[in-house]
Amino acid sequence: MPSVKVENVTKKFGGFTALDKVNINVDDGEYVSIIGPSGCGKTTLLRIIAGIIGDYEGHVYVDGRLFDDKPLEERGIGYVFQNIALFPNMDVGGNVSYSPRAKGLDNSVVRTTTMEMLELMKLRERYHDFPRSLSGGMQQKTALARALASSARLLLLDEPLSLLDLKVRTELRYELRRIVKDLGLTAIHVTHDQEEAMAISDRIIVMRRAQIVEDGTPVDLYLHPKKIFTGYFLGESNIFEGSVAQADEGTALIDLGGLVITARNTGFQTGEKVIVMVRPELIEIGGNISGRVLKKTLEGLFSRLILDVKGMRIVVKQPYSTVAELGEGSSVSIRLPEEHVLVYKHPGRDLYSEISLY
Amino acid sequence: MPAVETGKTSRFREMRRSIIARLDKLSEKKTIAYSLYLSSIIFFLGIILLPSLLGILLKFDTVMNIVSDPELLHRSLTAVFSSIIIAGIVSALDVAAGLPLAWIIARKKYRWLSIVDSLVDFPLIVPTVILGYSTLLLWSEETPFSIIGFNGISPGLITVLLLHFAFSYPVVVRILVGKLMDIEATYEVAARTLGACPFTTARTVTIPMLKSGIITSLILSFARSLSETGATIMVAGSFENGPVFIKKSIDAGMVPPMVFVSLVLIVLSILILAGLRLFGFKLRIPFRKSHRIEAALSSEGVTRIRDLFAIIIFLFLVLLPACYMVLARINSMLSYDLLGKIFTLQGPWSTYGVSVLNSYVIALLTTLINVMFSLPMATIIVRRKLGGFVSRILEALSNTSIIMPSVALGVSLSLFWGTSGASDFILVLLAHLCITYPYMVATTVSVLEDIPVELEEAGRTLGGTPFTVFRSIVLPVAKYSFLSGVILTFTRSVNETGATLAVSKTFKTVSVLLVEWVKSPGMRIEAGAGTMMLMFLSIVLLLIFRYIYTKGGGALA
Repeated sequence: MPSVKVENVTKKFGGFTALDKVNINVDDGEYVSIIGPSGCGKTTLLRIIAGIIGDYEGHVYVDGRLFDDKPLEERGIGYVFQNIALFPNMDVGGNVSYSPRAKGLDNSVVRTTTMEMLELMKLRERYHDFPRSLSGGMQQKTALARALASSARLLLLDEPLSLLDLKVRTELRYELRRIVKDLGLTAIHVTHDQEEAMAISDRIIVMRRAQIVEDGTPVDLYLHPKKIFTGYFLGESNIFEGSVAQADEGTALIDLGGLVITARNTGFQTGEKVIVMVRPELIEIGGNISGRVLKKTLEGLFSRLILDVKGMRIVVKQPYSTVAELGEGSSVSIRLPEEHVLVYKHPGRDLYSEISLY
Repeated sequence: MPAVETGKTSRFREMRRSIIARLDKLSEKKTIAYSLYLSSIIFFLGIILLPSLLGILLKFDTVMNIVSDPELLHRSLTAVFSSIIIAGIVSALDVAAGLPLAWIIARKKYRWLSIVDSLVDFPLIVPTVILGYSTLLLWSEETPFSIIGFNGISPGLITVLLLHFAFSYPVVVRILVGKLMDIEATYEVAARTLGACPFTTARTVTIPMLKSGIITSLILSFARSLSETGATIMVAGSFENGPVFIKKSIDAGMVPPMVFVSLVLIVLSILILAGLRLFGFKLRIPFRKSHRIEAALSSEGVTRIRDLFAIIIFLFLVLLPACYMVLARINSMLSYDLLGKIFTLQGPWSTYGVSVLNSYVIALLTTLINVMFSLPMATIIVRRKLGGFVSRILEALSNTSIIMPSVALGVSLSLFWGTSGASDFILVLLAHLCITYPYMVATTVSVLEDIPVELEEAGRTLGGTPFTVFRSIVLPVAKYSFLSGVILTFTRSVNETGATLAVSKTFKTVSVLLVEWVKSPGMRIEAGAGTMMLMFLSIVLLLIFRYIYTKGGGALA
């Protein structure tokens, strides 16, 4: 059963550093997502684990065995590509049976493995169809069946759902997790879609600019990100610059420039410059902060309000029914629960460079 | 740009800008587009297709003279048979030996291979007839391998095979390199992650996807081997294939054999190549399972030996013959005061100067006219402007003159235009247009096929007129494919001798002149020097053209 360890891996393409001393550990049976903006190095990391890219510093271990010099066809890894990459010259059956055939297995084994995988992905009727006649979802299912038929225990998924339309993407997301868990596989899933990562993974690794930012369970990363970037990249946040007006035992008053709010004190001094972050869903309606609704939009069963509070813009998300009577221009009062106000040390430089995606 | 522009360049720019603006306006009109399409079809039917076929058909009645003469019939059929066999062997060898080299170049494992990449184009510049003489010297008359006990082979079948291999090989490698680069690396990586070793990957994934490129290569090298005349005569000795037999009978003033042999060659080659197209695409390499030997074949040692073989074959069977004529004469050329004689245009060199000029003017006009007419034609074919059926027929027919032996084409053209009273210059130009037309159409078609129609539509929705879209989107995206089409057309025109000789006895292109020199024993040094000059001039010309093209193409967009 596979576990993956990446140790101090650095990869340069000419003068560009794609990975900078990256360390990750993936346990056996874990479903891990790596997320980050385009160009952060996540795909490079996945390709290094698969053996597609070589010539790097550091080491890759699978199951404790050193993999650095292992040819990619001997790694026993199932790789699913962003652009699907089904062989256009073979039908669905030909694609799915490719791996057992390439390994020189007996015809009977080839046949049973292929049928098993087609059954699993509900593709039996499509056996003789060619890739170009399949929908995007069907194509990616076939690609998944092809990777699984290689009897790989470690699945590497490189943005496998990003080219599919929204509906198919959400459906396939859950199917993917179900299959990985049912078969007891280990999966590393690269994506730039934070919603997908939150829905599908046991653990998320956040990357930015060739480095790991932090990792943790989806809930931890969402509610208590250790880094400002994580909070900014995962979901929507209100982010403000401010300073500590008064630091007491347990609580602190933070001045956001006119608006003073209460937060938990995790060791800040009076006068210290800080960054404050609050999730729009965790802001409550009814409280002692008053403002005016600038804009209201509907997002499914949630309403998204942009409020003007003493010249500051605050985004609030509440169930549709809770804010039904509010319209653009209405006055509203809100509360920022102190346990959900996250306070960070100010990075010193400007906020934009701290959270910008590239 | 310099801050102060001279009046001249700014006026030139203004002129260019106003021309482009006018073309932009014109291209918006539907009538202009359709008259362009119409004129390209008229050009194709009237200048390319009908003259090459009709000339032969006019003299069709003389065929009976051959059929009723058993001895002549036998000789004709033997020559045709030899042509077909040689073309078959050569095209098969070209692909077999060209694929490994194309693979090495396209998958560039080592950086120094970019040198090999540019060396592959070198034999394209050498006139085929010089390659013939060079081949004769290298393998027969003055073989340098005598130091290892090899005393040369007498001219005949083997030297013809060596020659045909040398001139068709670079075109095959060019095509395969381009196609290999077009195949996304992901497919090969996917196969490898699924457990296939490199050999199995190539056999089951890459080569099946390369099929259209391989078929195009086979067609082009087969046709080129059938059509070559001038060089083949030099190395053939007493051996006779179709074009050699036709040439001999023309020299002896006999018309019937050439009509008959041309006709049979045309019909047979169309049948064979149509069959190749039809069945080649249906052919599949079966893949039940990978055998143990495939892993062994993928091993580093075997791969290295294969790479080495590919490079040795290229160096000794292609590159060396291309240069040997000059290499072997280098000593006598140094003592000959080449530059002094050439620049004062003494003796034969005044004829040489005129013939070089003739060649380049013809090649330039040929290229320009073919670019002009093949572009609308390719658009009709790829974008199915006249419906799918017409497009498919036009595509098939546009290949006709490439599968026709150039000597047969020349015969046909001279019969067709012979009574027209046109000057020899025009006749040679018409012949060259016919011979290079398929190269240009084929490359343009493949260029347009690779550009998604959505890209053009996006340009149009953003407000570009058809001409703007072409020069700002299509041309930049396909810049280098166009360039190679232009280079193939230009070099082919400079190389040509068979059809040129068939349509004119007096108009001398440089290739025709060099053939004459090489054939007269007293002119061998001049022939070597002339070749060296031509190679040098052509390389410089191509480099300048490449430079202007890449610079100017950017400015146009």
